[in-house]
Amino acid sequence: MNVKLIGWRYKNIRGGLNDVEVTLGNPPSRWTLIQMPNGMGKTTTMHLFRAAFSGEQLAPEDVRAFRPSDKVCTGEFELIISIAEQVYRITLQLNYDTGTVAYHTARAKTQSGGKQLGHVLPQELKSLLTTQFTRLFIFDGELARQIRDLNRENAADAIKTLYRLDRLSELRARIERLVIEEQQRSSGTTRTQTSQGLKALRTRLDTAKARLSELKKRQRTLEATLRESRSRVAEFDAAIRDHMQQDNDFRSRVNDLEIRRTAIDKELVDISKSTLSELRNPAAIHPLIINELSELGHKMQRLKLPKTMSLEFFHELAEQASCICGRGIGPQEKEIIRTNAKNYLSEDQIGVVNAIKSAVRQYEQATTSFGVHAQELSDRIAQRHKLNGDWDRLQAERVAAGDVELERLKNEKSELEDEIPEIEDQLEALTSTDTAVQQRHGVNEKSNIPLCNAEVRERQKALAEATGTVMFSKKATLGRELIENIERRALELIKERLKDATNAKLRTLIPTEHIRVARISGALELESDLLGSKQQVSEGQSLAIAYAFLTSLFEQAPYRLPFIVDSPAGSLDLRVRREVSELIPNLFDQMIMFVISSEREGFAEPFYARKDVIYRTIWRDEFDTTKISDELAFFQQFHSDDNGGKAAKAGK
Amino acid sequence: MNEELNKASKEVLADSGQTHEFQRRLHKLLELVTTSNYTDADVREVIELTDVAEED
Repeated sequence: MNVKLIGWRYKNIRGGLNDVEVTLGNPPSRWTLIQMPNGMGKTTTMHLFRAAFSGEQLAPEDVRAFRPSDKVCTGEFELIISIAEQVYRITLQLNYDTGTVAYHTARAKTQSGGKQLGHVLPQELKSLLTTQFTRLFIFDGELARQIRDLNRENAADAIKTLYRLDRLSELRARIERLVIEEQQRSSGTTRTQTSQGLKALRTRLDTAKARLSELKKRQRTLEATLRESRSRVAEFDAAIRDHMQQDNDFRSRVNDLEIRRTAIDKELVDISKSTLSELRNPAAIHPLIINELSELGHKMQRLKLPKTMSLEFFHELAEQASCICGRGIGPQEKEIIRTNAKNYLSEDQIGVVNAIKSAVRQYEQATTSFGVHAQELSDRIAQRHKLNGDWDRLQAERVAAGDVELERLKNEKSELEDEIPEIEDQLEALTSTDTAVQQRHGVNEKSNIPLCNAEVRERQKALAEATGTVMFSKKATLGRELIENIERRALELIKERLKDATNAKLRTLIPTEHIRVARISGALELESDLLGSKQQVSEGQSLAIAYAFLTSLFEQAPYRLPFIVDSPAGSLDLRVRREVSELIPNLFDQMIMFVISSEREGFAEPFYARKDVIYRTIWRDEFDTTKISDELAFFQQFHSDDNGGKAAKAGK
Repeated sequence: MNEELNKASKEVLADSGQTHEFQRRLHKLLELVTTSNYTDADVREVIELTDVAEED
């Protein structure tokens, strides 16, 4: 589904935006650069775009924030878009006195032709354009800073919605509804004296489902808190490191420790991987296991399994009229043969046993290396602990020398670190499937998700049994589980592709530091060759990462949306500006960029060689009148001192 | 149906132990679901084809 932004119109909106209409053509130009001095209403326009696309109900203070002056009581903003080539006009009527907004939608070529009350877009698009989601394609620097901390659920929801995986959730809900309908239909035919009992079973099931939903909500909250705490601990680590490096006497010692810690961390990861891989091969773990397996192999050789006389052979024999020896096979003989046939292995069992024999023979030549690697791992962990001790001593030395700031950072970090095990403990109690762990925490179906899940299944089964729909419910449950697994796997595959596509762009945008996305677990987890797990990035790097991720997110999505960005190059250095300007715009069917004059250098220049670009400048003249120019030369020469847009002027 | 969903569906269904007919019909249903073009009857047919053990 293709969505294009054709234009928009302001009436009585703050900034210089009174009775201003911006048109981009239909179909619109692929790229539009809109140059507006600060104070003209760029941020206001972004807020209005988000509201108009999502149809969100704005808070009274948000509505009043659009008010240009106390003399004005109402304002209006109209967004004109095309959806699959059909034109929609979405109008926000703002009442500044009451702080309310009313949406109207007009669709061209409809029978009524007039405005319809409400935010009425095709349902498919309406479910996509949530307030959160619009922030991803109506984009500003604020989101760039937050992009790495995208809430886990929000990121997953955005991907699911954009790639239509949410429809699998709808399918699962539909299956559940069909089961309820089946049970209701079936309960209508049961005896009336059981109707009270059925109602009670349904209530019990609903209660368990509500509890499960609450517990999952609590899990999400705890996971978000844990992520936030870990992220803040990492920030404190970075702040402490930066603080220590400010002291000339400590700098070289800090750097030396950092280099050694990074090297050990890398070794720990490598050795852990190879050790875990060896664990999958039992023969590599210990010589005792090889001996036991070897002995089993010899015993199996001696077993001399029948190669032809399998269970199937006797079943076939029982069907014959006479035996190979010539004697007849009557009903009694048939029964005896069938009973004794169970003492023989079936063809597939023989196959499995032979495979085991073959595998066991290979183990006899195996060597054990697990112990060596486990020792290496143990040594590295000890070295890492020692380096941690060195690091703590270095800090203690500095604090003893009277570094109050370091002491404050250390104390705050320590408080935060104390909270983490408590949250982890709560999460373990909430999510553990291990019976021993559940007993240790004293949890039950009211406080543990897997136990609550089991309770829900039990109550579903009881209801199904009572309504005589056991088999249908079982089938539906299995179908739902399969669909859930498909949804989960598809999400994994999409995240993997997004990660690879993002990293390919980052190699161009940030070539020197080799920053890359290690995982998309919700938030973007970064790493780099220089620092292992990368926690701190500059503002410019954040923006480049956000561009790389968002363009990857949208480039293969079935929905083609306009990418609208405020200050696309603000915090980027000149080289990255050029890279962004050359790489990113080509990935969108339509891109609208709000810039100030200082962003032209590096960012706007690569556009000058392109076709299908609108260069629009909007400013206020010395009489406070809003002016619009579409001339490239004017765009290139426009200068502003950015004091509210009023003193903007053109010319060299 | 996008590439990832197509691949995920084939992978999961291949490991499901369900009949080939069930796999084919559920995959087809997922195709319809991504275009919101399916009915209760389509869903019910797939549920009925699901192979489950008769006893717990």
